[in-house]
Amino acid sequence: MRALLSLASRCLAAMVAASALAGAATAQVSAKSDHAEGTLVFERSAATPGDIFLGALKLDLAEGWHVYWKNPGDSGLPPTATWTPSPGVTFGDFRFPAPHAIPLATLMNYGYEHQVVLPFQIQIAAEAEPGTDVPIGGKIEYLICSDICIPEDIDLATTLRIAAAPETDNAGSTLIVGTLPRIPVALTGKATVERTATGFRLAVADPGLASAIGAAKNIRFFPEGPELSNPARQIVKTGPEGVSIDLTASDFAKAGDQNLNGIVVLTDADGAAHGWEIAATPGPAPAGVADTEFINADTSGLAPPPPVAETPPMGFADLMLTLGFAFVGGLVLNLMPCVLPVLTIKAAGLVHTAHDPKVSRAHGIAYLSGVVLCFAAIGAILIALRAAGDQAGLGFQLQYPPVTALFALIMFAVGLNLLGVFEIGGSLMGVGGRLADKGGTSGAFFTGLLAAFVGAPCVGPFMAPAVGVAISQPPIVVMAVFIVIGIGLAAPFVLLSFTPAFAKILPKPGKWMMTFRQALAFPMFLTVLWLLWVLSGQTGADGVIAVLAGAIALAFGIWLAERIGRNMLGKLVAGVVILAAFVVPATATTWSKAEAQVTANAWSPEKVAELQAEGRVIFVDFTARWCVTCQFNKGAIHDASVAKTFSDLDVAFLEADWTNKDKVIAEELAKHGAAGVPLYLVYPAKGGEPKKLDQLLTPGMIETAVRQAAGSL
Amino acid sequence: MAFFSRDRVQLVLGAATAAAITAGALMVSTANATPPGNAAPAFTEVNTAGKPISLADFKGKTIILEWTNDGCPFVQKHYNSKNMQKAQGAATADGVVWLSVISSKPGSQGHADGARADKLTADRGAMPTHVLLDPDGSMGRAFGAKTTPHMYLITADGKVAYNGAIDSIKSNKVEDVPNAANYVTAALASLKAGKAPDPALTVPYGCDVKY
Repeated sequence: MRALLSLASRCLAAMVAASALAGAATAQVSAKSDHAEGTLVFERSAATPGDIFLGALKLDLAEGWHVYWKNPGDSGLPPTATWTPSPGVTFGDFRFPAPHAIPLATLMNYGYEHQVVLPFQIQIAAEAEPGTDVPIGGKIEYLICSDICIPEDIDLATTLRIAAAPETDNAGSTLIVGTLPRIPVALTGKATVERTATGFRLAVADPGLASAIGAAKNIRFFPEGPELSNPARQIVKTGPEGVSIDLTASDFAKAGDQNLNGIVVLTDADGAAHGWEIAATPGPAPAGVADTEFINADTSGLAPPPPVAETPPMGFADLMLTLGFAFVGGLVLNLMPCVLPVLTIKAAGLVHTAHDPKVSRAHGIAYLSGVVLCFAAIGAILIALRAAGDQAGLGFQLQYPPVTALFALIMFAVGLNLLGVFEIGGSLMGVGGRLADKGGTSGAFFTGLLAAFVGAPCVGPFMAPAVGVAISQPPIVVMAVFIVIGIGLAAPFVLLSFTPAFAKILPKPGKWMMTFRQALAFPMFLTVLWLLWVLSGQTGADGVIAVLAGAIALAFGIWLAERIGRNMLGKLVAGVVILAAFVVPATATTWSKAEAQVTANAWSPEKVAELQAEGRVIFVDFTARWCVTCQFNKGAIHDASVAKTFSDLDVAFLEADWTNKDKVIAEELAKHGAAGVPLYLVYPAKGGEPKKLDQLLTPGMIETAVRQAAGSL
Repeated sequence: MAFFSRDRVQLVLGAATAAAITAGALMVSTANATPPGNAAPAFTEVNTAGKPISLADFKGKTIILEWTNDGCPFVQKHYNSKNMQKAQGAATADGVVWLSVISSKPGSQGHADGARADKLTADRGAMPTHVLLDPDGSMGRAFGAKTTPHMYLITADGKVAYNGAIDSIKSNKVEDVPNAANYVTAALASLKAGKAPDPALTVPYGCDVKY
């Protein structure tokens, strides 16, 4: 729900921005040298007098070539810009993102491969005239190296329009915002350095850094100066408060205590690097930073993360082997606790039809189709999710609480039916459980669907190796594996359906069948219990209560249908109750899942003054429940990356709720020239006047604004 | 299962590579010791005529070591501007031994045999006492040479007096040469005046040595 809202708000923002930009040209400009292409991009397509915004140099490097960080390490030079003087335009220095360690034989360089985006600040003079174009450009020089080094340069020149109101360059701001998380942030905690026999022990206690350790695969210190041996292995320890890193001194280290400057970079499994600026001063290490040894995923700390290798396509023999395992896996799935209950329905069906070979075969085929179709659908969705970059595994369908909730209710209804609480007449809402219980061919088909759907999560642990291999294969192989798992799952019942001899073993239909059917209800209820357990992990008690309430409503609806379901009105009332029994818990579980990512405190002018005195960045959201734009913007504000930026930069988040009349808020709105809500203000950490954000927010806009306000940009 | 065994092979290869790199790193961290004041590591390398040249050959003489690679833009900066040749001429005329060292491994940029090294010297009008061929990088590693150029000054009693960059402006541009302070000539002048060079240790700049 929230994701949807966020998506909707972003789409809306993009649409508004796009329509505002219709005809506005981007100032972006590119040029190529032998081994790189440089592009100047801008956050704005039009800037205002006095505007401060970001531009960036994007360098796309030829494969196998690298450029350097501000400290290039043992050799090399960082990229530089010599801007052509342009009246009224002031250029800031490049902000270097966290680099990679690039080993070269026995030496170590710090730099970037493939692509680097170097943001820099642009300031437009207050005297600039709206309606004019200001030239922006200069010579970009960079030493680019593979095993050899070549100095290259490009000239880039463009113009930027000055306008009364700023206009966003979508492509430019997306690129710049995308690179901001890689720019090292100021340390809010403490950094100390002690001399050791071989060099230094750097200790960093910082809440933001400490919270990122869990996801880190590599931790490395990049020094700003020459006092460390760059290629030497860094020994990293971590604790609840931060990290400590043992560093080897170079000839450039002075004797005795000294300061140590640089950045600590944490790289996660996806290769995303986050840096913290370190200015360590001599002193004893803070507590809680050296409890456990941290093993860098890339053991030496020397090699950059290797590019993800394409899994080679499987040979025919491997493919057959994998499919064989898939079949056996499907077969064994019949014994898994998650499938067993569904199979009991099928078993009941088999008893019914066993004495009519023709019907039996038809049902067998229908069941097979249901199972295979469901597995094929799961396979297709999995392929689509992975193509979209999602790390989906088997059983992903039960990761969505509403699905789990619906499922639990269906199982409950099936259980009631098996117990004989109600019989299917043909008037109740058509739900899977009912159809699954239906004696006919379509019933067999839906039993198949149901069995596969609940069975899929069990596939994971049992057949992880085969599925793991299959999933990295081309889509056609993935589909084949899933279909074969389905065939395996369906095989025993299909076989029985086609075996007339089987009917002879079974007793003739009779009263015992009623008892058998009722007994099968209890595995169903156990399945409900399992699903509720899954749900409790996802949503906590709220979701479970919602489903239990739904179950009561469902039972009530069924009872109503039996009592008053003979006329149209009765059917309608019972139908509504049953529908509500399904819909309400499913929706409720969505709500309980989507808890707010960032929590706001109530706004007051005094609170702002107090927080400003503490030197904190403040984000104020002037909102109201009846304000639709405000609700759309909540999607952006509660975005996970915004929450992270807020916590990293210790941003205070205040909310001024104007839902009811409020004189103080009204005055504040007027003071900032806003006719009403929404209004978003960001107060800089250094104090002074707040910056007003656009009325349609994106997560990137918020992050850029608070980072600027924190002075980390 | 074939795909398992493939994974295992990759794992073993990965571990072996990591171990090799770690070992390499440890070697470097211990072979990084020629700060000013320390004795220069002993070396014996052949010159372009195939004659072994050792540190011991130059007892009582001041020595300059210059790591070089003719393909490196930073080296080209100092040869195209004649900066290096001038320094070589002035030093050797003053009785200083100038040794240009080529540590590029065979097949890499700047690698030279005796004939090619002699031709380079002739073409560039260079004036070193000897060009030493160190294709296995042993001498470079012993000194901890990182870049081309990387300069060392060794006193008459065999101690390192200067270790670092040739001059004060880290660039590959010829036009920066006149504006830069040449650390090597300054260090030589200090030694001649009986003073310790200042600075005696700077961060060298240039291309990495092609070990």
